[in-house]
Amino acid sequence: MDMIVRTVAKGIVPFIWIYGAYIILHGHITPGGSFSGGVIVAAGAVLLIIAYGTKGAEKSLHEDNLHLLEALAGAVLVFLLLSEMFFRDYVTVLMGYFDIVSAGYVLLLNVAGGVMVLAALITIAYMFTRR
Amino acid sequence: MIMKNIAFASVLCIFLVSFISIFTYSGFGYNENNKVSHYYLENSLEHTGSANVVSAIVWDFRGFDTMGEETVLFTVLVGVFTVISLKAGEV
Repeated sequence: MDMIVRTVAKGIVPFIWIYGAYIILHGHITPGGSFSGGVIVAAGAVLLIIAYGTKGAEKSLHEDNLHLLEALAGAVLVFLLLSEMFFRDYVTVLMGYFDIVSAGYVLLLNVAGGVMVLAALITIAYMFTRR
Repeated sequence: MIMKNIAFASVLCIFLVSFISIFTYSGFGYNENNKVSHYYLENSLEHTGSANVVSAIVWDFRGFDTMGEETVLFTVLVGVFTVISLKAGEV
């Protein structure tokens, strides 16, 4: 793309990622959660791919790292859900309400699910643009 | 042409019957036995500690259902990867 699109994308993509991370991390307090926050982060990455091309976007977000992130987040998610069956009574009770660090397993599962969603969607975008 | 008219008429009949049946069965989707939704609304804060009821239902009350959704996402990724790799002749 031309220089205007590249400059605007370079300026606006960090803010899109910060907003997506905010929605993922506040998924247990405000509306939103892992799916919508992950989709917003993936939309910022798609803007980066459109502006800089696949080669330019891979300097900051390599596809192999995304594969690793996806597998890691999936394993963490399954582990958290299986451990929730035994330990949720000891984790959830300790924390207060309406804080960022609250709600025990809901916060952890939101983060793991959000990372899984964003890694999957950015990988699909890479596949459709490269080949 | 006749087949097209018959198909259009049958689709219109199905649409009209379903549209009328919404008003005939009054209170569609609401009955007295639907107690679990009220239980979730009243008790989600003290059971899960999460202020967002939707997150509490999705990740805590019905966590295994959401794990199935993530499995669907992973399967979609594997399917797209397989189809595009086969088309490019890499596998």
